[in-house]
Amino acid sequence: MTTSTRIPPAEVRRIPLTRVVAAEVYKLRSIRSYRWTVALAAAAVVVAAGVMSAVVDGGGGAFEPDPIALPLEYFAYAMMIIGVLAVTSDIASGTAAITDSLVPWRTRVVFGKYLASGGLAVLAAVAVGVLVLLAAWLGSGADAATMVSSDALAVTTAGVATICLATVLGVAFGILVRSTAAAVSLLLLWSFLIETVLIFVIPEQWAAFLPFKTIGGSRLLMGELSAGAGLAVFALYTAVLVTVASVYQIRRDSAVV
Amino acid sequence: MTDPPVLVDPTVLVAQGLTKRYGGRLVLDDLNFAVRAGSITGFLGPNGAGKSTTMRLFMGLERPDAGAALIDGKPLTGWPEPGRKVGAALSNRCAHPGRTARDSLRWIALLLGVPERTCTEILERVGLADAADRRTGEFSLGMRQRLALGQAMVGDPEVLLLDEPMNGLDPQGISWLRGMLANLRADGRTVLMASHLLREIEDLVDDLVIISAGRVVESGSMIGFLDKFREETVTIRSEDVHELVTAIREAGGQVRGAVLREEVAVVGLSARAIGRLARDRGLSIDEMSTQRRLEAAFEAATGSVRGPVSEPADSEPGDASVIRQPRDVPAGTIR
Repeated sequence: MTTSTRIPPAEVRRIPLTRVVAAEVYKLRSIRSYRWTVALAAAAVVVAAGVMSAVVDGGGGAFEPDPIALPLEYFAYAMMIIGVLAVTSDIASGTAAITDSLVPWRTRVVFGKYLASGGLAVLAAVAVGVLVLLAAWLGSGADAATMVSSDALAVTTAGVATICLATVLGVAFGILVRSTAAAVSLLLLWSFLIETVLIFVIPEQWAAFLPFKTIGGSRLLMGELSAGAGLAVFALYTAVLVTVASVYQIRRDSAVV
Repeated sequence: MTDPPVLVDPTVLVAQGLTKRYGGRLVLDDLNFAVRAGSITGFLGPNGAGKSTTMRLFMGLERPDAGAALIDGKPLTGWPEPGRKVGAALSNRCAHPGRTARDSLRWIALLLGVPERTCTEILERVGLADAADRRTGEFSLGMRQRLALGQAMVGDPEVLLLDEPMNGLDPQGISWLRGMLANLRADGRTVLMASHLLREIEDLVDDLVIISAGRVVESGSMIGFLDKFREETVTIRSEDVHELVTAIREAGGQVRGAVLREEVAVVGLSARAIGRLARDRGLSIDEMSTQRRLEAAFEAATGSVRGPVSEPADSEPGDASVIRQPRDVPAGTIR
């Protein structure tokens, strides 16, 4: 090591986003409990898809979306919590402060986290989406053409995309709240309690646009939005939260434990 | 904002009028100091003086309300790869408990574009080679302290900021750390080290920056500091403590702080003079000790009091070598 202070211009050597993403991916990969959680959640929803499709009667061999949409929705919740943990466990363990001191450009760190979590979510979601579709096919005994129909593929694709968005939404919410307990509790309370109460309070056509009523089995239950429209609305909610969280994070001091 | 002190050697860390408020509470108040390149500088002050906040400002974790924390003339964001310029171990909460020690370095290596073998070398260097593949949740405080230091060194930085690096280390660990810091200095690196273990840093540091209530009380070379506050503090335990105090005062000595049970701290008279005084008056002395010079000088500089006021969590009761809360904070910055 030398004590020389001469360095090339910043734009030449500034830590690239690819390295930030690689480090964030490594952080997630290196926690065994995350790997187990994703694997167990994936196994559970695949089994659920098989069981549901075996007992749900679509009528005359028609495609039945619930056995695909509902398991993928629950996997999205699991991934959303992993997204929260990707931020809050970093903060609680002091790792976030180290990251921020090594990469003192908050935008870069925030987007590195979104990309890393979102990227890993894509891998998990595609794998789970394919397995859920296969399980639903095997469980229902439907012919292959039914399972690769546009309806089936639309539901599966929307489910896979929802998983990725939910993971990013979890990251954004973790950035905003900074506490695992608070972030997970608030998200679950909102999705399972507050939205359920709101359904009885606001007109049904509006209730269908509540964030977690635009996805998966809940969307089917509401019966107002198509898979594509529901996904678009959920993407909009995610984009708003990502923007708010990013702006907030860039403006405030680092979380130090 | 006042100018930072002018030092002959090149400075690598400069706090320039640093001011930081949390809510309405002023934590740093126009803080100015500089750290010489290639030195180990002790960063001292009572709990709550603003040491950790200052370090966080240098590391870009917080933004100053006024002033600047400069590393070789630039803020941290001015360095394209900050981890190669400055490393910091600001807390022993430095790793996810579910991640192994090796993985806790590897993500940093990936971020800094450092070869993976560096992690193994660093783990050996900080004495964690045998625990490399253990999850950090199983680590003791001392092991986490070593890991934090290892993380700071991944980028092979020129400057190290260490906040209480001796916390949790056993005597062997402290000895190891002192040796490592001395080696880092020999390599030409600069270390700014916050510590309340005065005895441990006394013969290690070259320079001192002492702060209290967010302002610099004293800064400069260790030798200069000791020369300036030469006063020796003698601690005495005696069954005749009140008679002895009277005799000491008559002889020109001063009692520092309150008389606690049978114990008293005295300045202005040497241990030998006090012993002679007690013998002449027929007073008993059960125990007499002279405080280490840095402790006495620190107390003289900050006006610290002895007693159980805001002790650091890991200090022993009655341990005179730890920094305690000041009674009166000097209003001006002394240089």
